[in-house]
Amino acid sequence: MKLNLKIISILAILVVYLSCEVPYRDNARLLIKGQVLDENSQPISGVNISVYAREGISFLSGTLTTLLNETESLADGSFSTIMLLALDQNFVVEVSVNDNYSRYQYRTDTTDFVPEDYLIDLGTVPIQRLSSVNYNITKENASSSEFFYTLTYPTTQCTEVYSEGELSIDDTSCYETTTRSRSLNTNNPNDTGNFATTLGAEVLFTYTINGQPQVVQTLIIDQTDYEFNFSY
Amino acid sequence: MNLTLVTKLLFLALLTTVAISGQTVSAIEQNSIDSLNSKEKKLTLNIGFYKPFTTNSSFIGEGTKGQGGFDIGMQVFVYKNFFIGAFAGYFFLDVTNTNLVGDYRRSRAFNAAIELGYEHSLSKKIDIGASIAPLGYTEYRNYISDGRVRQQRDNASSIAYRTYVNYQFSRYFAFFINYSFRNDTTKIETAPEIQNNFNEIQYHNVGFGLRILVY
Repeated sequence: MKLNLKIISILAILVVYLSCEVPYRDNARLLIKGQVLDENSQPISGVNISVYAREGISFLSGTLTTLLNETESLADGSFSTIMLLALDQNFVVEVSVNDNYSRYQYRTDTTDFVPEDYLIDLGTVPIQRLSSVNYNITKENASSSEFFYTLTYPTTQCTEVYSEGELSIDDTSCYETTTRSRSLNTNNPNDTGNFATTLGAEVLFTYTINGQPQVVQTLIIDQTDYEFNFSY
Repeated sequence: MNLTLVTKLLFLALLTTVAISGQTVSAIEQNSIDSLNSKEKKLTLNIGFYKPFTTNSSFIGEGTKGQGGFDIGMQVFVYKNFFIGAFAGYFFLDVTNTNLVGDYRRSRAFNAAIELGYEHSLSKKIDIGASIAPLGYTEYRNYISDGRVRQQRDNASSIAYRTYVNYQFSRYFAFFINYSFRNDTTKIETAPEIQNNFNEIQYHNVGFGLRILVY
């Protein structure tokens, strides 16, 4: 009886393991192409373009991914890669340069959908140079007892989700704005922090002092290392 | 002039050579021919091994390297030296450039075809022949990873032209060397801008094998 249970367990694990495999469409090749330009429309060469499928979540090894193909952009920023057409609900094209640039993802479901003409043309991939913003808020005026601030800035990730060839606005998240806020008082009068955003971004610094009407200050992030100092 | 046309012309030239040399030889070595005809060979059974050389006329041809192949076949002599035959076998390709073909490691391809041909005896022991295999089928099994059973398939119809030289070293056995050109017309669908690079895969095959003669 014990032996039977062992055999059944092994077979079950094997079935689960094999069922995780990505199927491929016979007699098909997919072409993915595009061009990588920075925020000044200058081509970026050597950009890594990876195409993979996410097969699911394994309780043993986390997310299972299958690399379908990868390539690098040329001197003019263009790239193209040919691959077998994997049928998967998480078909991903990822464009990444390095930590100094934003990351782009194209996602779609190819389980029952074949891209028109077996072509995914990403066009101009919206890659942007990143900036590291360091801010320092200090209290200098003794009469300012309460300070509340909010920083609103674009994120560094662009993920476009397509459903049967059409951009799904609801699922897409491309340089969406995010906020961070904090209240300062006499016990915690100062604050420092850091965040990454896109070069050239407009960061909104909104604050109120002692409950007075809020003030909005716009910061143009024009350097890759941006320092912002504010005192109240 | 593309490679297919050149190969077809070469094949026709070979066929013509076979016919002309047949006439010449038949005039000079009439006695030998009579002797050979007396054999009344009815069919042959063949097993052959070959090396496929892909051409660069397609992405699959450019992005793979032929590793070897084998086939078995039979030829039935239906009228004088004319024969019909059939053969089937496997050949193997290693992927050398995944950017051209897709991210898989190797292919095992099954090929089967029906051929029509003509064979002529140059001497008691040496035959030359040529054939065309207009009805062929090839199935490529593309292995994506070695560790796990992952496959994708491509199908193709094929046409092949073959010539061979046969050396008969006993009454029932012969050794042969051959050359064939095969053109696989695939069913692969892809983006229009690269479709032409996947429509056909062409091979030059050079091989040898053993032939069993049945009288």
